[in-house]
Amino acid sequence: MDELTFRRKLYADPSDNSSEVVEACKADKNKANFKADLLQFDEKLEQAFKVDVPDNFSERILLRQGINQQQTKKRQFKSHFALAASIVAAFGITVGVIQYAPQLQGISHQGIVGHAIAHMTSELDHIPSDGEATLDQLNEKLAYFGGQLIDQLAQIKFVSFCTFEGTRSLHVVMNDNGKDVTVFVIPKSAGLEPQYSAAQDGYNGTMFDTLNANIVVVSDDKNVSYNWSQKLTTALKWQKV
Amino acid sequence: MKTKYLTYEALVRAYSKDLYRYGYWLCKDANVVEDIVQETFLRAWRSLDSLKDESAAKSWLITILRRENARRFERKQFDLVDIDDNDVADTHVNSSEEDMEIQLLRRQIFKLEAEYREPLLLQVVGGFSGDEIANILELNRNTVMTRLFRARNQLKDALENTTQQRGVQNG
Repeated sequence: MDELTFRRKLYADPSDNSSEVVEACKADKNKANFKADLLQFDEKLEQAFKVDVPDNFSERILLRQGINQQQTKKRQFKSHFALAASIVAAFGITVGVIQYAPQLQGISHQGIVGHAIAHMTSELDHIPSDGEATLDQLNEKLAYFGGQLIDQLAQIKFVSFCTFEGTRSLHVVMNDNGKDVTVFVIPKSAGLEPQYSAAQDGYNGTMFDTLNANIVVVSDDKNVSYNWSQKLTTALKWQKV
Repeated sequence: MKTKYLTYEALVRAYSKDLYRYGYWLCKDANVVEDIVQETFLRAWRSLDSLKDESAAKSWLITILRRENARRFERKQFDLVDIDDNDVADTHVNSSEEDMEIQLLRRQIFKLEAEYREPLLLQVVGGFSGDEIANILELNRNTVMTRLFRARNQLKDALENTTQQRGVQNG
């Protein structure tokens, strides 16, 4: 094999171990060296290509997938519910019992805090127990909503964007003396009905509103979620987005 | 449903890092890589039933990711940033000679045209053969091999030029 063909072949694939390449290397020491150099270059290339991947990357993907599924289920439930409701309503109208209709509304109604608690409990399995994020990482994402946390109030265990009732929101988990405190930042543009507190499934949530977003704090202790609402009210700064 | 989720979870754990890196070099914008990979996996979830052969999982995911990236270009033509105007992937403060070499190499890889960078990435990181790369990129094998040759050739040239320049400046 002539020099040029040999070089072209190896530049295209330094690991080429076809018999002609192997023979050529045996016959010519320079060719063998050329191949060894290129293999070494490939190792460096591999190192260069392997950029750092964010911490907990797989967990974050699984988490968002979980949330997505949850919403699909809810949507399915809602559409089934709507179908059932229309049948009932149609039946009601036919037999002239229209007073059922007002009762049907409001059954699936759940405020923003209720949603937050449901959202959080369905994702508990996906939150890494020993995860850690920095204040900078949190602020980088908060900036999307025009917010900034000026003081790291506790260890940040988890930060990720999530889809909250169809709106891109932020899901944060903090560690308050061993207790998980979940904070959701939901843009006001989501148009969800404000609800200032709620309790369900053993969790308590409180909501407060800021310039751009509603903040919901969820914890298993009512006092903790209330205190955190207070702390966050002063530690979060906003600018208009 | 449970089995489907387990398969999905295994896929995410096995390939999310590779896909992140692939997305990183493909879309040249660290800020959107995560979204693209996320979207890729969401789509993978929806069509998981179409994945019959687990040994093809990686190339299947890469194909979805490439489509997802292409879609982004269709959607957001105006949002693009020219990489030459920005310092990329240079957030590490490294001092050792070897690290500097890697940083230099990264910059040169970024400067490669996508048509050269992609097959190289598939070969070096993905471990795909020429035929497999041809399949993923929907090209013929000869074209792939020529691009791989040019990719390495350009990188080597660029690196030698930089080293020489540095030699002149330092000497």
